[in-house]
Amino acid sequence: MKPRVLTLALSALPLLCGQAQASNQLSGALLAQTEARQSGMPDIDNSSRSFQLATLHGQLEAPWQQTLRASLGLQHQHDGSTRVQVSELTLERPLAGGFFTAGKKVMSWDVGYAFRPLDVVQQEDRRALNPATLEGIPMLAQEAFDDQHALTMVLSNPGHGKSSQPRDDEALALRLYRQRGERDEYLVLRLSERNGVEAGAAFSQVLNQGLEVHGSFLWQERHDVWRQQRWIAAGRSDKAMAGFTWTTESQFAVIAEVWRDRSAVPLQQRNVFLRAAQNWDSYTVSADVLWQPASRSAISTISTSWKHGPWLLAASVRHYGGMSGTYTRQLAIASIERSF
Amino acid sequence: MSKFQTGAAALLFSVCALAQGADLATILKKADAYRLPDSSAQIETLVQTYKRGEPDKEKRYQVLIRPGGKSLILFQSPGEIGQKVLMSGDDFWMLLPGSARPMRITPLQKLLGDAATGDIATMTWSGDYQGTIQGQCSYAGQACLELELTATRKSLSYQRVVLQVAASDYRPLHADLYAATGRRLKQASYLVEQRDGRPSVTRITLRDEVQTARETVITTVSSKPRQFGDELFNAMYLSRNDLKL
Repeated sequence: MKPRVLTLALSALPLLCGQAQASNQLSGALLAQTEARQSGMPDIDNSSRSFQLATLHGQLEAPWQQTLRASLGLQHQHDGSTRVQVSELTLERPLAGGFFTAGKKVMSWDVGYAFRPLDVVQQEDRRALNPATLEGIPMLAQEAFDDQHALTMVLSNPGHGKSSQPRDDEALALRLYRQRGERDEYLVLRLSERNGVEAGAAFSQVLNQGLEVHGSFLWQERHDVWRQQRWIAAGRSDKAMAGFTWTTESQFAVIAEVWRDRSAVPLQQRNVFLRAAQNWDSYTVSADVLWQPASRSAISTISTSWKHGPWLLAASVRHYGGMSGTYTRQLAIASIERSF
Repeated sequence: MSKFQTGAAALLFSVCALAQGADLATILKKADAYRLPDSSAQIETLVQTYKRGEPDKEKRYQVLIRPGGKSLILFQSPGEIGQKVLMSGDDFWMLLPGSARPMRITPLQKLLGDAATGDIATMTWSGDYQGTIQGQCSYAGQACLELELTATRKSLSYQRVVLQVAASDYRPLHADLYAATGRRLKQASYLVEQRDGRPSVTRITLRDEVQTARETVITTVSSKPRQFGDELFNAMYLSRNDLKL
């Protein structure tokens, strides 16, 4: 697509959003971002890139209680290339006393912030400096709710069998949710050709006005490891995570998590994550560090953002220390976003 | 004082206290009815913030309420569309735009965003506060009653409220809102107008006592009675999109 066409498409976004019917929804955003990367290897040059991204989310009330939803992304790189991504395209409707979903949908599970063992349907990277719009998973799902319980059954990537990447595997997943006062409880079961049986549990509990604790555990009958550019079958595995969030009246917030992921490469199995953030009305400043004791790696990030009405300005610098800095030593990102 | 006199005095005191308690409950219910005439309703709210008298921010919310202290706030402003906050008594969850994961949050995390405004839109004095009638007063030339109220739940943004209601019909006129520390956080004044053939609070003006140059105006754009299914107030339902408004 030529840049002129993209510019025209971007210009039309606010007009389209303004035309949305009250009963339906149309929203979107325009983002311009620039990145600078400092290489960790002397024979690889530093690099930079910039791009513009337009996202559009539409929701349409169709006959027979059906809801159609689509999320599209249009990314234009500084080298002139353009990429279109359909992040979500779903049909949702009540069915047989429950609620049915067909299509491509983002479905995130688990209670963690930096690491999420029970996120068996959607593998979401929570610490990405440049969080791409999540891309949904093709699925058929049926859910049932009362005021304190929920049951979700998902057939993801139907007909795919075992694919080249785990994310694209066909799998049947089941989640049970129960609210018990100040505690949320989850049970998850997943069946797939690659991993066999996976079973896990999680909880999140509010202890007082500012303190919440959470934890999750996943057991895998088998798993694959990525070696020499391909997946190789390995034996049993498990993932365990524990953490807390703490917030004060002055809007200072801390997230801390520790986890062990036996399915990761040995030096990256044990992790400690700490994030502190201070919020002043429209401004937020945060700092976080991910420490991997076995490899003596520390990935630290400082971010700031300013949000005013539909405008969001953000800037981040991430430093890769120890072994994690082998390829990239430092990464800086600045962005401006306008929502409609 | 004889035993009889002591007993009679105690009985009289108890009867008076009981009568005052009953009166307070009636007054609070009537005051609530001006703000939330329907126990299960869909309310469209406009929140405008002013700094030093100049417009600063403007945000829109759809608020769904049902009995039992349950409410669901749907953010409608650009950049926030898709954000949802679910409140069920002292329990809170949030869904951020772009993420399909409902998160359990603490009462103080709720204050990080604009959801605290939801407290003002959805809390009921009769359901969330208890207290006493302090006496008669005057507000803007109107005879009023002053009520001293204490929150019955720790998660409420304002733990103490001094509420002034019109002596004639108990419509809310003014309130001082205090934190648990005793610090006055905001002053609220209420505008009552005729809507759908009945007097209703159509606007609440909040003057910030901490950031004194700031004022927030909460306008009830529309309010209609509606019945909702149980699923709407289940945290796991937040990630679904088939919510009919």
